[in-house]
Amino acid sequence: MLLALDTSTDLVSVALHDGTSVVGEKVNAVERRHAETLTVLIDQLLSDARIEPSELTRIVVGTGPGGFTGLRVGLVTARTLALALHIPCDGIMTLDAMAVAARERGDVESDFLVALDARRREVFWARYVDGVRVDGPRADAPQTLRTQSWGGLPIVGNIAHAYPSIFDTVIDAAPSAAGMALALVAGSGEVTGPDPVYVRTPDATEPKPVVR
Amino acid sequence: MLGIETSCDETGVGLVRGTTLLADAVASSVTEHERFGGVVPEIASRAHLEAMTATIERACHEGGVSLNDVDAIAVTSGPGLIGALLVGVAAGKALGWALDKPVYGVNHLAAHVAVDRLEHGALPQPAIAMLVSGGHSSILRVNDLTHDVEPLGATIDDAAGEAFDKVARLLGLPFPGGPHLDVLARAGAANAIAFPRGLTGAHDMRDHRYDFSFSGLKTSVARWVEAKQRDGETVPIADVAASFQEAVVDVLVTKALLACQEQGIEHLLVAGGVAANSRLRAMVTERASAQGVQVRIPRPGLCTDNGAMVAALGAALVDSGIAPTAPDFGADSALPVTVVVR
Repeated sequence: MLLALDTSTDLVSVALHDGTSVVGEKVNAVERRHAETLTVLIDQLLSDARIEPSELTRIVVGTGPGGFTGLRVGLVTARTLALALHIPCDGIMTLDAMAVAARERGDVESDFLVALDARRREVFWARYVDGVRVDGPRADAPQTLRTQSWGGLPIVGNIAHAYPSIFDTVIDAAPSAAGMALALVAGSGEVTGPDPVYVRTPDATEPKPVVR
Repeated sequence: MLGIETSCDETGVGLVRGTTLLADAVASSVTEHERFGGVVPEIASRAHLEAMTATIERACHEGGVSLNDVDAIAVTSGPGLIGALLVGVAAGKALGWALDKPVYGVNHLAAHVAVDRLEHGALPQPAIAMLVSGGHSSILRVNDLTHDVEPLGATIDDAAGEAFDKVARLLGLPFPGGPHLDVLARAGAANAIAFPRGLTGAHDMRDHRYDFSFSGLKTSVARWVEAKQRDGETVPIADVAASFQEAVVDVLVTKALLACQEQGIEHLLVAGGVAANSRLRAMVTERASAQGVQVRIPRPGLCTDNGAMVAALGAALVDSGIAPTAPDFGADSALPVTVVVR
C-alpha cells in the first residue's frame, strides 16, 4: 500500500494506492497550517480506507518547488514515517507529477509548461516536451513565461489567480497526491530521493567586517 | 520518552527513562551561520530537515533502544523560529502517529528548566528559575513545572546570550561568541572598566524589578571600544570581555537572588545556554551560598539546546498525569512560558 503526499502549495494532498488503483484521497486547503493538518489528514485517510499504518509499504512525497515551510513539513513527515515504519520513501518533483497528470487527463499535448505561484511576484515553472522536462525547475517573474520565444505554450498550474493580467488561458491544476501515486506506479515521472527542490537560495546577507 | 528540539539551530533528539538520560543526539548548523554573524532562519530550517531522521537514528543507537520501545514523544512547539519549530513538530507528530504513541507539544523554556531532572533528580518546588539563553532572559517562579509557571521578569530588549554574541563580534571573536568571550574574559580584569548595570537604578527597580536590559550595555561597550580606537590605542579585549561579562552576570545573579529573597524561596534553578558560562556559574554559586539559597545548574553540555531536555519535560508531564496534546497542534513562535504544554 503506497501513501502519497504533497504539501508544496497551500493544499495538503494525501492519497493511498493499492498497486492497482487509488483507494483513497483527501485534500485540504490549509494556508500555513500544513504541520497542524498533515498527520491528522493521513490518519483520516487510512481510517476511511480501513488501512493500518503497518500496512503501508512505500511512501512518495512531492519535492516541490513550493513554499519552503510547507514543503519541509511534507518531506520531514514522509521521511519520519518511513523511518518508523521501516519502509522506503521516494520523491517526485511536484511539477513533474503535475505534468504527468495533465497529459493523462488530455489537458495538453506534447509541449507545455507547468507553473506554480512562488509568491514574491515570481512563479516556479518547468517545460515539458514529449513527457520529458527540458527546462526548469526555475523561479522567474511571471511575464518571463510569455516573453520567451516559446511564450505561446500552454500552461498548466495555479498561477492564473495570482496574475490574471498576464495569464488568461492557464489550464487550472493543483498538485495532487493521487496523481503522484499514479505517476509513480505507472513509472512515469523521474523518481528521486525525498529531497527538497528549493530552487531559491535562503535570503541572507553577510555583515560588514568589524573593524578591530 | 523521546524528545525533539528544533527551535533554533540545533537539531536535538533525546531519550529519557523517567529521570535517567539514555541518549542526547544533537546536530548543529552553527557553522553554516558563522559567516552571517547570527542564525539565519531559513538555513536553520533546511538543516533541521536534513538532520532530523539521522539524529533520531543516532539517538536510538546511542540509547540502545528501538523506536518501538518509545512510549511517548515530546517536541518543542515554541517559542523559537517558526520554520525551524515546524520541522520538529511535523517529525514528532509523524513518529507519534506511526508508532501509535501520545505526543506532547511542549514549551522550550520549560524544557530548559526540566533538564536538570536528568542530572540532579526531581526538581525542588517551588523554585525560582533563571533562564538565560541567546533568545531568552527570564526569571520565573516555578510552583509546578508541569502546569504552574509564573513569569516574574524578562529582558525588555536583547537576551543575555544575544548581548554576549554581539559584544563578542565587536571584539572580533568567532560566532557564536558566548563561549569564546567566556574564555577570553579569563585573561582580563573584571573590574577594569565600569560598564553599566541595566535596570538597577531606583526608578527601574520599582518598574522593572525582575526585568533585564542588555541593549544599553552592548552600546556602551561599543562606544568604549570606538573611543579607544579613535585615540589610536590598542583595545584591551580581554579586559573588555571580562568587564562586560561581569556586568551581565552581576545583574542576572543579583536579580535572581533578589527574587528568591522576596518570594521566600530557597531554591534557584539556573538554565539555558548562558548557564554554561563559567563566570555565571561561579558567581551564582558563591552568592547563593552566602544567602542560604540552594542552586542547581545542569552541566554545561545540557544547558545548550538539546532533545534530552524536551524528553525530560515530557517525562515530567507523564509523571504528573498531564494529557497529551491534541493531534492538530502546530508551532507558536511566541509561545508564552505559562503554557508548559499545548
